[in-house]
Amino acid sequence: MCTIKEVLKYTMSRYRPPDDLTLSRLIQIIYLADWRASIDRSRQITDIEWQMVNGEPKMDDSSLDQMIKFVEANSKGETLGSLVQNFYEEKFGKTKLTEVEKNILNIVIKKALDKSGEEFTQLVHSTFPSLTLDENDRVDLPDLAKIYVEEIRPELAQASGLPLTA
Amino acid sequence: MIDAGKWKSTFGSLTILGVVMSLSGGIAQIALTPGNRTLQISLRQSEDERGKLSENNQTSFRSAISDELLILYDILNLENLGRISLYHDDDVNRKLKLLGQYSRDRRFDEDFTYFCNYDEWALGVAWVRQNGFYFEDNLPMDIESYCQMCVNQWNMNIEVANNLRMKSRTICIRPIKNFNRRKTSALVFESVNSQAFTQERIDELMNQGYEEERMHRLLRRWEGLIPDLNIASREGF
Repeated sequence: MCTIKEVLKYTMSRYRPPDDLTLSRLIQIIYLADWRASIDRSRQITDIEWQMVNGEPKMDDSSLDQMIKFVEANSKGETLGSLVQNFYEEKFGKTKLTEVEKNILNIVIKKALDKSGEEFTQLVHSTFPSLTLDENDRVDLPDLAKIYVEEIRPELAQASGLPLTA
Repeated sequence: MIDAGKWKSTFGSLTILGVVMSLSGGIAQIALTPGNRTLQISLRQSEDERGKLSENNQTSFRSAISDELLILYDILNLENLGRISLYHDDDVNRKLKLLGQYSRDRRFDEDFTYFCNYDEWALGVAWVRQNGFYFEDNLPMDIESYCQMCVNQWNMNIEVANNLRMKSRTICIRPIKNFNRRKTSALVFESVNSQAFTQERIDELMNQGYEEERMHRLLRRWEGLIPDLNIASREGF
């Protein structure tokens, strides 16, 4: 698994225009990436322990602390948007993310960039964990993904008559 | 049917503080209903509660709906024995999807992927009626009789009936209609106690359609942004 710092660095380096990026959007992106990775390869990209609060993904305190410290250490009082403006891959050297992990993050970042804030939030809140878990439940994304892939998604595809998207 | 083995799409969230704030006017108007001091006091207390909720900056569609239902729940004084749910019509799939729910006892909570088919459970029975109304206040206490009643009167299969998280003895259903008077959603009031409330009490709460209109307006605000499992599935999540 990758550190949250690696994921943050990569996401910030790819998010354009950076002014649109907020902390809550960053959290949503990382959650969706972890969920997608759980679907595709039965494990998260990060070791974040996710919780759901009213359908909204929340990081565990330790991960959130790491994220905030990382942002603070690099922003030097600037806004998050201007911080991200300075985040280019080369500035941080070679990422430790694998190609598969980068591809997953690229997919999610593209979704975030293509959608309005409301639409992206709707997508996050439409995911299986968000819809099924009660408040404050800890989320085991790989376990839920197994149920989703084996039982739920095939039924959805059958009901809608649409093929599964990759 | 409320299918415990399934999930199905539904519901979700988004930024809502504005919605919560805008609805407070509606509650105040209900409090003007003449000749019911108890109701007025209850509503005033709920206003306080709403104020606290606003301060907490509730941020999701789910919590917004839940807050609304909490207010109704308190007014009805359902203690720890009740549940109020909001279902929304998915007329394409001929199902009613759970949009929001409030109960003090989490054992009564259904998850938000549940749905009810048009002709199943008390809600299905109500839905196919022209007026969409349903009321029972003395359903069987004995579990076996209860399940049999589910099979005979609510078109449920016995396994699903057995797995119902809440075997309500009082249940009242009232539809929410749009401006063209078409049913779009329904409120389900339940208690595990018999004779926990009367139809008249519910109708008083609905305030001759005012509460219905308020709920309808709330749902319209979220139209097009209500989370749905199909959305995530289509996008590869």
